[in-house]
Amino acid sequence: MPPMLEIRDLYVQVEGKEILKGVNLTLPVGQVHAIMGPNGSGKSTLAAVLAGREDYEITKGEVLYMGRSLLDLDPEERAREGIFLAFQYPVEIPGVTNMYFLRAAVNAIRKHRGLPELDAMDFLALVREKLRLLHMDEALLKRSVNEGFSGGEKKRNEILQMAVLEPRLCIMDETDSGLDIDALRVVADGVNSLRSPDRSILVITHYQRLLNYIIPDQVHVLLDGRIVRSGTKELALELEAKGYGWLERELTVSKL
Amino acid sequence: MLKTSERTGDLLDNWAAFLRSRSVDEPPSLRRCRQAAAEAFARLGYPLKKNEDWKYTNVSRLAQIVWNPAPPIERISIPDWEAIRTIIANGRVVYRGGVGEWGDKVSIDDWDRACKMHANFLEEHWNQVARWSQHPFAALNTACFQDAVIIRVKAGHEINLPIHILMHHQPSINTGQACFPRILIYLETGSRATVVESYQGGDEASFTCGIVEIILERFAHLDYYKVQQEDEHNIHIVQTYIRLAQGSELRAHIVSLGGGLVRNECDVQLTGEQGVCTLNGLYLAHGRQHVDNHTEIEHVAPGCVSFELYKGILSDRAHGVFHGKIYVHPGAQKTDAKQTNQALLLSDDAEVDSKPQLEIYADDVRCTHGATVGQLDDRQLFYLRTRGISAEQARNLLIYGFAEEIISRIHVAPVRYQLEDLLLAQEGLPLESELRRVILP
Ligand SMILES: Nc1ncnc2c1ncn2[C@@H]1O[C@H](COP(=O)(O)OP(=O)(O)O)[C@@H](O)[C@H]1O
Ligand SMILES: [Mg+2]
Repeated sequence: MPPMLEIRDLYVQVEGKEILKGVNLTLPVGQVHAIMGPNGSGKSTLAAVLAGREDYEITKGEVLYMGRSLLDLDPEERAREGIFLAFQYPVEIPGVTNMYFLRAAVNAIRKHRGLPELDAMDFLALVREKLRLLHMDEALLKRSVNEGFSGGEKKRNEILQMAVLEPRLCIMDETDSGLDIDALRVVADGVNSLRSPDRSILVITHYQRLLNYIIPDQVHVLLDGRIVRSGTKELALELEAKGYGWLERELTVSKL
Repeated sequence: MLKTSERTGDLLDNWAAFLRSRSVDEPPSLRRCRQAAAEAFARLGYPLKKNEDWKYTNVSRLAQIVWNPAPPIERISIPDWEAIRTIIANGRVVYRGGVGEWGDKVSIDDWDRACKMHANFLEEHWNQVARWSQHPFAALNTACFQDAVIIRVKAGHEINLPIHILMHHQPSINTGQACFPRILIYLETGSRATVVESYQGGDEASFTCGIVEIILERFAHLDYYKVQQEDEHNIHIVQTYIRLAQGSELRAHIVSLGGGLVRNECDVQLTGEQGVCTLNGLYLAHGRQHVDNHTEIEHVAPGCVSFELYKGILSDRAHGVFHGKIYVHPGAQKTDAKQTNQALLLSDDAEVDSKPQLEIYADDVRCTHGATVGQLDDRQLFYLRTRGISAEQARNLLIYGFAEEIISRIHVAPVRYQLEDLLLAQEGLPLESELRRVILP
């Protein structure tokens, strides 16, 4: 069986500036991997490239999703094939209710999978169940997508979408930042409930904290556009204790 | 080639002959008024581009045609949603649904009946707010209108069913036909009503030139909808003149979906304290449609509120115009006026001209205005697409989202559904709306 995701020697430029400089990463089916790295190291750029952002220029490398090339697909095709990105900064969409948006998304994906579209009643039943899982108030459904949501509500809303859309590959970009400890637990419980042998999760985070709740199979460190170290969950603890500066110094030394 | 003045002369002659052929017995003062209006139109002529009020809207096409009365039509289909309904077809009232249980609370008359039964009322209230002596199209309508609808809601009563006036313009082979619909909505003290005006039909050689007068007496409340969905070549120029007395409130919704050259004018006078006027405008224009929303709000009395929100969605080579004049008289202290005009441009060739004009002669007021012109947001589009929504559906959702602020204020369900259907036909309805429609068909 091919891995869920295989990134090979990926180079990406944003507005002429090289951000990713040869990223290699393999995420097997059923596993949870974490990517850690300081601000500006390229984590969100990588996540956006995987989701299909068109204004980022891929100058070299390839990405395979379940053994097939990913980079030629539109964002919506990737989503329908099972890729989901929980954004670090979810955008607000005034005038479109969360409920309307979610159902449009569910039905687009169901259609692609050859399933009948959900009518209003069936959809409500599905979404109510997921709301309970995430301790979310149903009132959020009637509000415009992310508009006026608190930071924590936005993050929960991303995980709600993830739970409703049931992707194969979940990419979570700093879902933990801005969450208090209770909210973090709820989100982690939600994510853990989605863990399954045929689903893989890529958890991008700045801090080790989240990894106490979502235990990763592997941890990768992204520094200045490259994966500079991979290891078990203990690597995250080591990073927490020593700081990113430790790896930066070590890398400089080894280059000398 | 004929000179414009000769064409306006021919037009007036044709219409004078036509009007003489009818047997309506108009009160003498109103007959004199017609004559004066004809003279005013002959004097004013069609407005030229150098006229500041018509700077962005070129009506020279009008002057190239001698407009004739539209012939009567035989059949018209009646909308199936429940309302107290009147239909004007090619300028004549052809259908007046019964007012039923509302009979003692509201009267709805055509011109003939109003002249026969309510001459005194007409002499008192007709032509009281229309500025026909200064405005060429108001003069033209006042000189030429052949029929009218007069709605009168009795003091203290609330009419819970929408009052619907449908203006249908059916072109014939005869090119250059005009309709001059005319409406008076009069709400007596403390009464409440909802009026929906819809305009449909027409073609590239037809012209709808209307006047709507709205008079709200003290503490009256009107929810007013103007839904224009004529053929996308029709010329539509309609002035809505509104006068609000103390404590009265108007909520107007001006929706333009069709028409080739469209001018919606709203002229509001707040003449009593604590009057509230809200104008919600929404227009969709594509192809080469030209939609001009021209508003003038006059704060005469102190302590009144006016709130304008206009939103336009323009694609292809469509052209939108918004002119918002707010005039605050010296005595109108504590005026609160807010004007917002937003346009969403969906193509590089679509354009919009916006002209706020604030004239404030009182010192203790709050008046704000703002205009924005934008495009669809790439980040929002990307976000929607990462959820499996196609690029096209994502665009439609964002367009709907832009319009939603206006749509959500529309409380007449069939009008609202029509807009939802128009914007979201391909995408499925908002869930709330779908549920509502199932529960309340
Ligand atoms: N749209 C953009 N235009 C220009 N530079 C960008 C853009 N987005 C990100 N960058 C730059 O790319 C680098 C990596 O950013 P990002 O991927 O957001 O890092 P991280 O998520 O690890 O904090 C940073 O130097 C940032 O300034
Ligand atoms: Mg980031």
